[in-house]
Amino acid sequence: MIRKELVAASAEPLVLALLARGESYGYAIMQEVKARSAGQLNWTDGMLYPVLHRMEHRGLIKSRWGESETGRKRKYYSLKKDGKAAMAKHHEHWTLIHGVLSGLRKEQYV
Amino acid sequence: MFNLEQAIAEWRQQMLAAGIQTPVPLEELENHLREEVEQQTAMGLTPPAAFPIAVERVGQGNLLGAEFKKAGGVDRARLCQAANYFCALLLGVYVLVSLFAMSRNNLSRDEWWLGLAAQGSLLGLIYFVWTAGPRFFPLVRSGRVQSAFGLLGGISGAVWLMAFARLVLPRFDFNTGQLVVAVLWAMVPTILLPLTAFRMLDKSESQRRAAR
Repeated sequence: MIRKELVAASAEPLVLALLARGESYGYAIMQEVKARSAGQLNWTDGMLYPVLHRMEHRGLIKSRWGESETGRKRKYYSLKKDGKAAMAKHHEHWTLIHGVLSGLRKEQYV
Repeated sequence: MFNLEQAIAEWRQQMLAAGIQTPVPLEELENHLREEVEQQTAMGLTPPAAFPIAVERVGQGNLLGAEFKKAGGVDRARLCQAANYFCALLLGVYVLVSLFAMSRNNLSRDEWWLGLAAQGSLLGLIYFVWTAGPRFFPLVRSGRVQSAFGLLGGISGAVWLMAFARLVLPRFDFNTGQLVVAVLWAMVPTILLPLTAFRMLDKSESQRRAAR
């Protein structure tokens, strides 16, 4: 299981990257993250919503109320221009960290 | 006998007691809870077995409440966006009103051109401040300095207009057409000064957001 600090730090870039593929809603975002990480990224489901609201306050994403297939009200989120810029920045930072780690690891085996 | 609706109503009460507000975010959390129950029952669990699992997944009210509190606050991004639209609307109204004033005051051909040049200069300068301006503005991080800039920008426009009305206008004996043209030119800095200050704040705000 991944440490909770890392899970928290990865929440925003993951949400941004998921929303970059198109509009989505809380439950679907959560299911997608769980499926893609084979359950390793284990959020408390409800904690996704404060993250989404914070991102909306910061102008990274926007929301609208729509309807689910069963007619229930559902809040859909989508990416804004600032969100795309933030995603690019996250990607750059995570790639850098990954590069540094991989480089150090390779050196150990040389 | 287990009643899902009753169980959800009780869960809602607990959430409200923990400070989760309705309709947002409680409705959203309730939807999540319902979807999780549906998912669990689709996988073969009975509703009485699925419900506590879904409740646990959604999380404890007091912890969620604390996180939602942190997520709140003044929505500055939306305020800035609303202010942008408001400025554009005001500008549109100003251009229409001044064109109306020009058409109603028997302006000569030259005065018409001068009046239109004032409008064109204003719109051109605003376009420049909006698009290229942010490259030249300093980044203001402090909230107080930001407020000071905003205040100064707003006041400077008004001060210039007052100075124009009290000091410049009395020195000339304008006819109506000339007066309209002079006022149109005087309006250029009156509008541009506060707008420049606002654009500068807008830039600082968006950079502050991006940096978080």
